[in-house]
Amino acid sequence: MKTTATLAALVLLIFCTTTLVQADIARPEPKPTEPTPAKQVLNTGLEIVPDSKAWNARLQISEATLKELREATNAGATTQSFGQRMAGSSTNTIVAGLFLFMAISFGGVWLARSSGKTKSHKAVAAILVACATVSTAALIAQGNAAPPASYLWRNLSKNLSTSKTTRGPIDIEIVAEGNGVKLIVPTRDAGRTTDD
Amino acid sequence: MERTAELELVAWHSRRQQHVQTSSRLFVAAVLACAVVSASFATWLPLQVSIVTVFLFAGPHNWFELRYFLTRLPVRFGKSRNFFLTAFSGIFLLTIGYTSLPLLYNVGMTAGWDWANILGAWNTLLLMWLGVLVWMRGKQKLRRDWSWAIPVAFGLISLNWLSPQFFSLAIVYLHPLVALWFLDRHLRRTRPDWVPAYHRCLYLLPLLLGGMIWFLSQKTALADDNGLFWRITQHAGAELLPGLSPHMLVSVHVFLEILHYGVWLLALPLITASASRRGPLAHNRPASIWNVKSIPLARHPRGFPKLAATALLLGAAVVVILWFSFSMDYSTTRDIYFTLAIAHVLAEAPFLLKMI
Repeated sequence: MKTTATLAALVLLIFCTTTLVQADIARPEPKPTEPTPAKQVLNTGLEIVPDSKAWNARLQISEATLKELREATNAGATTQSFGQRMAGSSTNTIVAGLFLFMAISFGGVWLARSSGKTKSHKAVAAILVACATVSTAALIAQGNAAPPASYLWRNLSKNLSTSKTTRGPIDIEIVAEGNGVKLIVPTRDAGRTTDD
Repeated sequence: MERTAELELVAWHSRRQQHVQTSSRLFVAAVLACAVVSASFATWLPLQVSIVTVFLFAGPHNWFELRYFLTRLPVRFGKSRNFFLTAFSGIFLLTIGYTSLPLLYNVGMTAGWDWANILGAWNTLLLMWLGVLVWMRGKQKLRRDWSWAIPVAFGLISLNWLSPQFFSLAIVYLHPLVALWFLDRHLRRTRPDWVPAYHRCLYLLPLLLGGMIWFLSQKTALADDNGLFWRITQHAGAELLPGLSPHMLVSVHVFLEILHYGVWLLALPLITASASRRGPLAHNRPASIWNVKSIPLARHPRGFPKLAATALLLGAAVVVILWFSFSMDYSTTRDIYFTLAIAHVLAEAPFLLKMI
């Protein structure tokens, strides 16, 4: 009896221990090591020029862009796009917000002082209310997002086949792996080609 | 006898109407021809045209602006004393601030400065000054309340702080258009019969600009491989707008600059001369641009003829020095000119406001 009780207690202890240490769960599959994310250093323009007379592909960088690139990589800072720059600088955003607050306050005082005087003031008030409504709706719907950069690259394949130049924005990134230079061009808007 | 007089009056009205129509058509034809030719050259050879136009017209157009502003300056400020004091002190201080920045940079005193914020601060002062000027001008007008200028100025300052460089670039593109506003106000005073035709001509401007942008948007980049060409493309905003064709940016900027020069060097002097032939002193020959007595400030018994003459002579000397300097070192002179030219950009604001 005593032996049975001891064995039962031992089995119970083992069950409890395995539950606590999750010993019945298989070891997770080893995760593949994630590549180091690319660091964006410069936002500039790229022009792809098909040249029937050229013997080799050439990558031309202006001295000014090279200087910017050097400064950006040396400083370790990332050069952001226009939208990122606007959203990124907290000091500028605070100052802009302060002046926007003053604009709305002074505008409100002006409207209150001149309300009902003329039809034009009512029209201005209506326009301000409409602007505020549209702006709020745009913010909620994230309608202030910039148009995709891929739009300017939509005619690339067509332009290459007809030996025409294509120009658009480009982000220069420094990547850890690989050799040489790789150009990634968005093709998601390629279906929206136009005749320009 | 009364019927004969009426018939003569009707005939005179008819002749006058015909004359107005003819002169108006000539004016429209000249404006359209100038605009189309300017747009064509600016599209075809933007860098070369930019170099030539700045060399030839930058100095003289400033001299003509100076002369025009002198003719608009009252002998006594009277009730406009505070307005003109604010205007002149603003022009002086803002110009000093703007021109001192490159000097401080060259001396090496600006290490670690955030240029975007400095530019934002200068733009803030400019917009505040403009807001106060508009408000003060509104106070001089009966039945007009221009106190909306203050909230509008604050709203623009807010936009400026989101991206000061883009705001400064907007000034570069908008400033040439101010000349068209001057022309409009001048026509209202001197040739009101041409105003409707002029407004119809203005409709062509967005069409020409749209056509240029559409045609040049995918053009090959300009050869900005030397310092001068690079400066011209940077001035047009090629670095700030990398997604847009530098060819398009430079062409549009050059086109607007040519319009600006055309208004100050051709349109305003010619219209003033033609208006003087129609006025009460029509029998007199139109006054020469060198005639100081044609400026009210100098003609008035209590005026300042010597001051006006000295200002014009000094202005002419500066034009000659500018031409000489352009011949010696075009790039450096161009940089210095566009820095100092902020003074004439600022001076346009109070004089335009006085004409509204």
